[in-house]
Amino acid sequence: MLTTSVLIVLHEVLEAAFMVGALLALTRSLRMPASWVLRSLLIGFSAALLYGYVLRQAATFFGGVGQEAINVTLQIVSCTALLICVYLGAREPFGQARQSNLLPIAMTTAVAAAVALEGSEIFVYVAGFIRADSSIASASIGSLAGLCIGISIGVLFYHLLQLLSPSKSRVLILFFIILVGTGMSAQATRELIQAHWLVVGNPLWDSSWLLPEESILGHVLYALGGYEATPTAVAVWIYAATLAIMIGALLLGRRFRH
Amino acid sequence: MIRKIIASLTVTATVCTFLAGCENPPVQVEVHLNIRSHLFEPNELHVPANTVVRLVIHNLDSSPEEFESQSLNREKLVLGESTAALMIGPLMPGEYTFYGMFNPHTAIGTIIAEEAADAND
Repeated sequence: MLTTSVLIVLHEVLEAAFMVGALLALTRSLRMPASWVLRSLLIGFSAALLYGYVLRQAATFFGGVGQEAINVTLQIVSCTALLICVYLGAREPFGQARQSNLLPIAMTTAVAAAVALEGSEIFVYVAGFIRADSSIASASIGSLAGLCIGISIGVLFYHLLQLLSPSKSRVLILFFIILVGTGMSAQATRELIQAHWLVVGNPLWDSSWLLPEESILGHVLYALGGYEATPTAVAVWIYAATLAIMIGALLLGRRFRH
Repeated sequence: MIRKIIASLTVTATVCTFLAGCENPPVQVEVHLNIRSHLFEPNELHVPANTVVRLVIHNLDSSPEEFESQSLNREKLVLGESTAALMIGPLMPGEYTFYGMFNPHTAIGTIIAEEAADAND
């Protein structure tokens, strides 16, 4: 039970940890105040509690795919906010305090939506144990341990992104924000296919023999780039399109740098 | 040049996605799966291959469960004492494992996709 709780919570926290780590590194690189982090976590946790609370009713919407509809909405909101972060982050000059007012708003939105999405699942998991009143101690300790490991990975990731020179580090940070954003769109695609709102089809390839999704590296790549071992054609197309749009935003931002 | 490539890729992907969405095959089969005492019942489900299947999961336990399958590429939260549905397939003939993420040691099962002739046996 203990290991299961650690893994469940870590699986949910990891993506948000990478996102916050990369966005905080961008904040540092742009010499911005980091007050948006607390704001985004507060909004995210409140939204997660609300989502977890209304999930029973919401799940029945749209013929039983309400859960997918809400998840897709949150994923698209987060992905779009990250796109804005990439554009504005690339546009900002080096070594001067001249940020757009939109940047902290975009960062708050991206993190709040991701925390709401992943946090609701943790809330449902933990609430299930409280109601059932069984193994609550090991589930709580495990969940807390998973949360702490996730946060530590995020902090480590943040510090790793600081190691390079400012110009190289900026490119690396934006690259990781692009990866997290593209991963978010990949998850949205999966939800749409699951709800039968996007075309279903056979997988284009199966790379599970090389890198299984349930392996540690598989989990990390899922959180950092939406890795899927058996993607369908539509999933690959949407992934490529999102990646192209994100890279386009990066190039456009650099072109219009102050 | 790069911008032209990016723009054309985006347009192609959007058009393809739209067209692909229009041709989505209808759901042809519905199968049911129960969760009871953190176990899947039945733990082996036979479905026809190359068919869109609606998988209806009834969670009879009071605790929530998350249906998870890497090989099917599916993940869905099923609250305690509730029912959830998701689409799977069209699947190529073969075995696809699934498990309950909240109880991965007990809630384990397999979906077996069979050609029409095999399924009628």
